[in-house]
Amino acid sequence: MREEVAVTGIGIVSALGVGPAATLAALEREQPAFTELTAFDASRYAVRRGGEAVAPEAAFPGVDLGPPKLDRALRHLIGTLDQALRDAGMEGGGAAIPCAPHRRELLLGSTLVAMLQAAEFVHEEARVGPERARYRRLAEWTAEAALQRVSRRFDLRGLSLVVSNACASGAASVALALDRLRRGRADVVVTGGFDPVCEYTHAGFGSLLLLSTGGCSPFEKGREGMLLGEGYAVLVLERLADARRRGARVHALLRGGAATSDGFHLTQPDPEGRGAARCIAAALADADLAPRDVGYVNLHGTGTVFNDLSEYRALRTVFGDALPDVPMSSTKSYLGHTLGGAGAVEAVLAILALESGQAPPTLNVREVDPEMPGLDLVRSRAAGGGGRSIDARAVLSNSFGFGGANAALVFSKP
Amino acid sequence: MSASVAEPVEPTIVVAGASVVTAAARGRAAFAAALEQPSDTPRTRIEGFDVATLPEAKSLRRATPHALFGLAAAAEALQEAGGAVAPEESALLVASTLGAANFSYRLWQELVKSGPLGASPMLFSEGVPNALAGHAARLLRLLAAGHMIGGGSGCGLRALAVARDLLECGRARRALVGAAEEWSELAERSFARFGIVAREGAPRRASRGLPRASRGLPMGEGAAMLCLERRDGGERAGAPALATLRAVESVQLPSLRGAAAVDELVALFERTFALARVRPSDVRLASAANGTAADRLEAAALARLAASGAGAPRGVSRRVRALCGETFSVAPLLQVVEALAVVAAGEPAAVLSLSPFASATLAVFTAPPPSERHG
Repeated sequence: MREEVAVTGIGIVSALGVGPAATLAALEREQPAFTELTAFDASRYAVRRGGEAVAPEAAFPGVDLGPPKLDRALRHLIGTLDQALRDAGMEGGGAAIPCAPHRRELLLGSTLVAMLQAAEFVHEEARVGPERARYRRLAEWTAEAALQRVSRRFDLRGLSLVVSNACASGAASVALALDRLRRGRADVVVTGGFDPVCEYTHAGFGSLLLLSTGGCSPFEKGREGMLLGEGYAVLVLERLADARRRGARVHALLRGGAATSDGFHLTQPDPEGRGAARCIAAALADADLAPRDVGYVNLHGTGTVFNDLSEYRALRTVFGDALPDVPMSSTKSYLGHTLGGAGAVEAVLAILALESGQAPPTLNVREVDPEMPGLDLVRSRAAGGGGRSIDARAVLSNSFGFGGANAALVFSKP
Repeated sequence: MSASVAEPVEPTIVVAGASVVTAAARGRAAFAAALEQPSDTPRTRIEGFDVATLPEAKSLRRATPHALFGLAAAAEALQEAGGAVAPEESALLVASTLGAANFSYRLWQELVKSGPLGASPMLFSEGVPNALAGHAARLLRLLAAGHMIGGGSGCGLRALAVARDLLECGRARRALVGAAEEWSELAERSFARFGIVAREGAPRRASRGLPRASRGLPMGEGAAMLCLERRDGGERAGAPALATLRAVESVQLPSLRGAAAVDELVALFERTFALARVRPSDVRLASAANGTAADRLEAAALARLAASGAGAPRGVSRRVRALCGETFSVAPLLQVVEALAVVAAGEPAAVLSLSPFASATLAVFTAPPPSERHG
């Protein structure tokens, strides 16, 4: 019989707030968390809003986040890990984690890692020239430097890696962590995803005409595109038997996960959602669940015309006649697309829905795209809906990204 | 198989094909031959790379050299493995330290100079970290998981660890796993200042936390890909294989210096050889030596092993970097290709990577099951 894997710790920071409780409270207010961007000079851009978190030192008072000059994303990541480990009863990591150091692993997803350091370098290089620019910043940019810093901070000495599968990075890293535990390679895996708001991605997605000048309205008939956000989410995973043995609180079981590739186009999703459908179906099969067992779906739902339609078609393929019976929503309408963090952030939001029995609505949707019949999109109070009570046995979280990268995770009640 | 090598107890994961793209040689056999020719100067830059052999080469005219090198090596590794595995059961794991660093740097420079007007959709799209995985999924029909693994020189071997998990968990029957890097002037300029790579005429500055007394090697580029398969029945049972992957373990060391680092590295050797069920003294090791502080750490750990009852690997090769320079994530995969030649001669082989940021990974290979040996 396959080992069950438990989620025993959760950390989350986004524009919605710091920690699960603040995040849930913000979701209940049904207000988007977008503000004028401050991470860079956005005044030159047509889209100037996004979902920024508070500064790391404000988010984590009293926590050693590393040197003050360390990249904002890494400081937030360290704070979020600290939060998740405390939640798991493993405060500070190290000896508080009940296994040998080399059996503690760190699997993270990110597209940018410490890209803000690179931004500072390039700006400085333009000002002072290549000989006087500070190259240390570039060294900090690398995934290896980030892993070393974080794994040392919490004494996670086993396998460490960064998955960079574009917007599916966070969910993909969690799916890989599931296999590490099932195969008995590790005893505790700290996993998740993170990305800051950055001019590089803002300009890049803008150049592809994927950003919305209005709000973010996933699956809405007149949707215009997405807004970007900043997000960090960490899950502490261990085998259920180990968690029970030490008397840990179990948020949820990570029942299944899967990743697939579209093999269609570098930046466009397969219009029929075939790769995404295979991924969702594989995750459900991995969880040994049928579509009707799913009580809520946290959609990838970026709010772009083609992404949402592709995801709908994938869901229609997998859920078939059960589609109208499964409430679904996109929380990107609150906090934006957190890119490499999204899969982990939304996995946490799905777990919170499972724990609280409340499915958050999709904001800004007055009329669901008529090309998506049968979609039970939970809508806000302002649109005549409101957060929906659910009695879910299991929840699903979808993540899809550039490169045709797909990942899906299934959580169930312990 | 050597008498000291016990039969594997877990699902058998074999290397069914392999290929490399380097400045010194292209293809597994040519690379193995090049390693036998001692060279004073590494061959680092790939000139006049021919993309015509790639499927749908026209669709790749905007792709980065990083992606092109990786695609070429992947296509050739698949060709060597032969046979047909369903696209939905074929995964890809590709590692890179630098990825599309040149495109990212160019896009940043344009943004600094011109703001939004400088944002190039082409540079952004082809510069996403998993662009190579996306191209490979489309062109080579690899439709199971496609993961891009970022990190330092050890991430190529760590991708191997993840690929093994995918195969053992039944998520794929075949996994292409490898790494690709392209030469970057910015990376060379940066790493040279930290002593990670050598750069003629460049000022060198000590930097806290990174090796100070080292010179490094010239920076190279290229790709290496392995085709792994799970061989416990099915239609590929008995198909030729090059080696069996017996173990791959990874650890984050406290640093590259000091007794604690030596202790941890020795423990990694002992643990990995025990999992692989091979006697260390029977193994030939492809060294992580790269001209930095990592060399002294490796030497100290091997000396400690030699003094222990278990013994140390009996042959240590440092030929890969001498031939190709510092190719970061690609180097350990090139070492695996070197190890395949050792395994073909009937001996177990191990591959070590040690990154400047003090992560260590060790993989052990033995001859494939008798029914699956080439020839």
